[in-house]
Amino acid sequence: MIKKPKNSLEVRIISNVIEVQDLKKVYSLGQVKVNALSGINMKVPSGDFVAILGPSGSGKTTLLHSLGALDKPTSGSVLIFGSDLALLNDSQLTEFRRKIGFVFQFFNLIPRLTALENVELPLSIVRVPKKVRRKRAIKLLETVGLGDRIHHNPLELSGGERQRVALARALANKPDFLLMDEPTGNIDSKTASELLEIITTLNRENLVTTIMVTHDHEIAKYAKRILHFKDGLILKEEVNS
Amino acid sequence: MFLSDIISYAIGSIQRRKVRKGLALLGVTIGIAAIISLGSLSQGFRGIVAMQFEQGFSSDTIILTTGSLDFLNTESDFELYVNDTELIDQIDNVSLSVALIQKNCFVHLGDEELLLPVIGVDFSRYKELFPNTFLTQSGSISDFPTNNTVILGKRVIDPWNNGTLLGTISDEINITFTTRDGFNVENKTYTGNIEGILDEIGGSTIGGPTDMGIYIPISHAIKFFDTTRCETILVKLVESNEQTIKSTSDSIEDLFAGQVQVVTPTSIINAISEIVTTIELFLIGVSAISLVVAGVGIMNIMLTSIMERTREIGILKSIGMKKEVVILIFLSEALIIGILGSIFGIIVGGFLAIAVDEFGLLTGLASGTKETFIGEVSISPIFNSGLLIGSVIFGLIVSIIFGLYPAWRAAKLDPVEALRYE
Repeated sequence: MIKKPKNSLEVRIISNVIEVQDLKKVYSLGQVKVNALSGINMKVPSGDFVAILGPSGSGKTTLLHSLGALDKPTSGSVLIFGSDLALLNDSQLTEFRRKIGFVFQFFNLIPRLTALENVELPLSIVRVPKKVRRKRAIKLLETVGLGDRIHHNPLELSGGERQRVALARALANKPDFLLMDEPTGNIDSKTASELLEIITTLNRENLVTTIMVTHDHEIAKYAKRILHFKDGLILKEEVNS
Repeated sequence: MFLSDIISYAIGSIQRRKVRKGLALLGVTIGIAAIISLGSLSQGFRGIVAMQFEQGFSSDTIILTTGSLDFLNTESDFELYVNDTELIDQIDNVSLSVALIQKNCFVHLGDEELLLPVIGVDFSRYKELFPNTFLTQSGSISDFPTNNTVILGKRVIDPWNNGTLLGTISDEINITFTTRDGFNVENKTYTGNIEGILDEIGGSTIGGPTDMGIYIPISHAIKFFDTTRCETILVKLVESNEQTIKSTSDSIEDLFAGQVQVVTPTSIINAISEIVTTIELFLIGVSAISLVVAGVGIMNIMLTSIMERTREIGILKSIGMKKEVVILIFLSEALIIGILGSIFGIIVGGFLAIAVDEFGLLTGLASGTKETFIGEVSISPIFNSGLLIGSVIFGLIVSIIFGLYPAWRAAKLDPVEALRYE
């Protein structure tokens, strides 16, 4: 996806899906100011698979929320396909989120809806007709290996299954990129590696740009690149062979 | 999001909390049911009042009295006399006038002695004025009555309305009128002959025939009561348009130097309508308050539900649901409660009103009017579309208003905060 910047005199080709420039986020917890992000610079080209590895409380999730247009940074900018999120209003941010696939640590499925309905939900938000979205949701659930459990409620599914439903939901609107916040944090290691197989396959075969936050070295190894993260800063970058 | 998807999403979450949402729904149902039942009954009441008058009166009749119809004005000392009708008859647009002498007398009939109004009236003219109610069930009303002629209202002969008759045609009836002259109290009694018994009338109007009335010829009344003073003169006009009524009433008032009250049937109906309207408004007001309470109930439940569903709202926003759609989802939950509550309310309220009528729960109130000029009435509910539509609209407005704030609260939740909510 290539977008022309507003200033048409300066034509540039944007190859990065995400470009983060000197991103800072300061929280106020009462009197105390907490620097969650203290100047992040990163670029994610299309088709990349990045793991952000760091201990809990290091600001990884805050970064992910900023990339996902859920949270506004204190300073610095997040450019997605060249558009600065800081310049967008609430409603534009919401529309942006529709092209981002989010997978959360705690699955965040809607418990009263079935697996199928959960996957259909983002499609119904963008007004995909019922028949089309049903078909697509079933196909996605088959892709993540849940073709036989589509009518189950999240409460009737195991942690790994729930996370696969969440992945299917994240993929529903053919997102520009996937953001995953500790996707394996609540599932056992066997199920976790199954899930990551699916994700790597998606990345390899469908070129789904993926950014994953984790504290687990083993999990991070699935990514093409690992960004080591600590105290709101990227310390070093490691490329997986 | 398509509207159908929004609605089915809202229905889904209502179904999840059946008991709680059911209670909110019950609140609306009660409110609407109260409006419908009280509203339909008071409309029925209004209908009956209007009907009673139309039955007894054609609108071309006006009433002339020295008394006052309201409580505030001082009554005039002016007196009307029976032969004033001769003057009134000469006024333009007057077709005929009838003078009424009315005294309360002890009446001895069968084994009973009753205190009843005895009314002296010109039979042929009275008949002309009230062709629908001054009608006999048995016997007849002679245009040339003798001094002993007595016509009885239905309830006089059958006071308990159970078929136990105190007498029949051509039975004798003793009428006793008590006068005093200084310390000298004198009972005057005469024996009349029952020549006619009126059909049951039901209601009554000022000056019109009643079921409790005893009618004697005016000429005899003048002699027996020893007076030509009359309380009321009824005047029938040639036509019933407002202009004629107005100008004729003015001429009559002028004739008696403004000392008499001219009452038109429309003015009575209007006065009563006003009272009924006040009662109606009061009743509807009371039920409206219960609906507002139900609205507060909706708000309470919606707010609780938003607390519980904070995370869900965070999820919806994080996958790209717009604020407006979040508002619509929560608003339609409130609206669905409002719509269902209104429908159930109409059904329950309708049944309630019909039950009140069927089981005669209001007969106490209704028969309480027996002794008044309204007469005995039975109230049946009237359901008109205005009441139904109005109460549904009100129900919806209440649920929207009280659903709006929780919906707005839900929509403005910060997605990150909401997702973090446990």
